[in-house]
This record gives sequence, C-alpha cells and structure tokens, in this order.
Amino acid sequence: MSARHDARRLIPPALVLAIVAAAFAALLTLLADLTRERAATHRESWLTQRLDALVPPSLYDNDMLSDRIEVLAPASLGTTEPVSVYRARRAGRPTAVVLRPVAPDGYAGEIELLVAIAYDGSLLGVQVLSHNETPGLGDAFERREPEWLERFRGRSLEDPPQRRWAVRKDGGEFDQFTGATITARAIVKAVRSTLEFYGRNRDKLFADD
Amino acid sequence: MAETATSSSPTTEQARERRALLLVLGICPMMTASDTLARALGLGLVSLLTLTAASLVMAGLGRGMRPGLRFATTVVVVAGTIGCLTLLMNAFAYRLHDSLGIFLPLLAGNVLIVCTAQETATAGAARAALRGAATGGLVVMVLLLLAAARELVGRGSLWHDAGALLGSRAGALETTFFREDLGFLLAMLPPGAFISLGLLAAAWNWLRNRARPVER
Repeated sequence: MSARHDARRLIPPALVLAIVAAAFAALLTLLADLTRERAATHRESWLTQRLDALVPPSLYDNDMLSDRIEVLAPASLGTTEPVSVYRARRAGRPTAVVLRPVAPDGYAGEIELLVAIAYDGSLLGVQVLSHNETPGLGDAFERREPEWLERFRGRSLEDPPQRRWAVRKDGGEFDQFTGATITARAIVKAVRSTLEFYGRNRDKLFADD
Repeated sequence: MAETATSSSPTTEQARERRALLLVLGICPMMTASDTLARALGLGLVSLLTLTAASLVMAGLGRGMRPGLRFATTVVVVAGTIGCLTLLMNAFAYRLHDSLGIFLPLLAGNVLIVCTAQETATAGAARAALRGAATGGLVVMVLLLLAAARELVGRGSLWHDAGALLGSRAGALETTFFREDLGFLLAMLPPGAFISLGLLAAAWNWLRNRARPVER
C-alpha cells in the first residue's frame, strides 16, 4: 500500500496546486498591466506637486517632469540606483535642477530627498520624500521643526564655507535635532554632496541627451 | 497536550484558546500600522479582504486537498490574493500603499491569515467566507482600538493624515486635541504598540472575568 500508492494520491492535489498557482500568476499579470498606467499617473501628479513647491513658477516654462535624465553616482548621491534629475528651463535656457538623491546613513536606513538647485548653484529648497526615522525624534523636520528644511534655501557651497557645511555638533552651521543628531547629519551631508555633484557636473546635467 | 488536541476533536475551550492565541500572534506583525487610525484601518481592511477572499477560494477548492499540499496551496492562495490587493492599492490608494510599505507583502506569511484560510478549506463556501470575514473584522477592531489609544496619547490627534491616506473625504475626520510635541512619545514607538496590546488583553480578561466569575 505503500509509498507508491500514497504518492499517486498526491497527484490530483498537486495538479490543483499547479493550476491555482498558474491562475494567480495570470491574474497578477493582468492586474499589473491594467493598473500600471493609473499608478504611474498618480505618482507623477504627486511628484509634480512637489516640484511646483520647490521651483518657483517664474523660473521655468518647460515640463520638468518629462525633461528628465537619470544619473548614476553612488558616491555622491547615496544610492546605487539611477537618480532622477528634473531640469527647469525658461525660454530654452537652463534655470534649475531638481535631483532625487538619497541620504544613505539615516538613523533607520535611507532618507529619500528632493533637492532643488538654481543654475548658479544656490539651493532652492530641500524636501524629504520618504524616511524611516524614529517617530517623535528623527522626524522632527516633518511637523515639529518644519522650518529646519527651509534653512537650506539660498545656501550654496560658498555659504556656509565648505568646512562649516555640517551640523553644529560637528562644528558646522546647521542645527541638529534634539535626540536625533544622526538624522540631521545625514541630511546635511547628503545635501552638501548633492551640491558638490552639481558643481562638478552642471553642464553635463543640462546637456541634451 | 498537543497530541490530544489534534487526534481527538478539540473541546470548545481549547479551540477558543487556540483562536485567541492565533489572533494575538497574527496581530503582532501588523502592529506597526497601529500608530494612527488611518493606517490601522488600511492594514486592517487588507487583512479582512484577504481573509475573506482566501477562505472563499480555499473552500472552493474543496476538501480533496491532502494535508501536506493543502498548506502549500493555502500559501499560494494567500500570497496571490495579497498580491492582487497590493496592485490595486498601488493604483487607487498609492499613499496608503506607500505608507504601509513592506508590511503589505508581509501579510502573506501571517500565521492568522494562513491558518484561518487553511482551516476553512473543509467548510462550505458561505461558512468559510463568513469565518474569514469574522476573523478579519476582529483584526480591524483590535487594530483600530490600539491605534485610537496610541494616536490620542502619543500625538494628540485622531485620524491624522486620513485625508491623504484614505481619500480627501476622510480628511474631515482629522481631529487634533493637543500639539504633537506634547504627546507621550513612548506610545508612538514600537514598544508602545506592545504595551498597548498588553493593556488591551488585560482589559479584555478583566471584563470577561467580571462578567463570568471563574470558580477556582
């Protein structure tokens, strides 16, 4: 009776399992196809709002979202993935870029940023797109101290000078958050390194591809 | 003990205890979403829908499944259902989708969902769906209770961010009672979730014992 008999009795349920798996695979593929466009549209409109908030409308007359290139610079931009760069132009002349770098050394992993830089290398603004920092401590930039991110506006690599581009605790100009120095340090470092990247690659970033 | 429980039909008391244990074990990995009401409702509803749909599918597949393969099939059904729900959320509620992040696919390995779906494989379709929905309803309730307490104590609000996560109409629910930085931080941190769950279980036991004093 035996193992062979037993094994044979497993065939029908195994077939059911295979069919169920195939059916779900088909259903998932179908759903992914059907929803792809809608999901992409939603994400784009969300990003457009962010870009509008960062770059003043007087600076551009092009569609930043589609005037986009991807750059790979793990050392400067904090991620091994390609980083999106949105380019603002007015009457065909470059006016600003928005980069999407990552601060890799947050207290709880990566902090995704949006950094807007005017053509002359001064910061238009910095936003945090996503993070996993400790609620109540490391997320101070969200509601507790929203003005903290505002303080980047107008700064550049000359202001403050290079060695002061750090949190106060490291001898720099930027305040840290109470109890969350690491978070502030990670963001300041990422913004500085993005500015440096921009400084080195400005012409390449605006080149037509 | 385990022997008697599986070989003979379990007594109702044992079955009830087992279900309570499953519920607690199943809720634990979901508790990350219990920091605000909006997120709790989101993850709770996904569990509810998964439990109902997966139980229904398993019941539809019938009782012919052999035990060993029944488990494998259940896992495929649960994972497939959650995959579908995740894709739909990404299209229609992407802010909620992003906010729950990794915890959506993690539901596929949730002991409560997998066990409930597997057990209902032997029941009729209607009973299976009902049982799945009842379990899911319980999950939603517990998550909402925890979230209400944590959000209120931790950040002084109810339905924070509901407008963004659940759709603009839910935004009307957002209420703030006091400034966020006056909140009791511990309630928002992961340990706060477990302490709240412990308090909830204690309150539940206290209420039950008061209603039906146990002879000792």
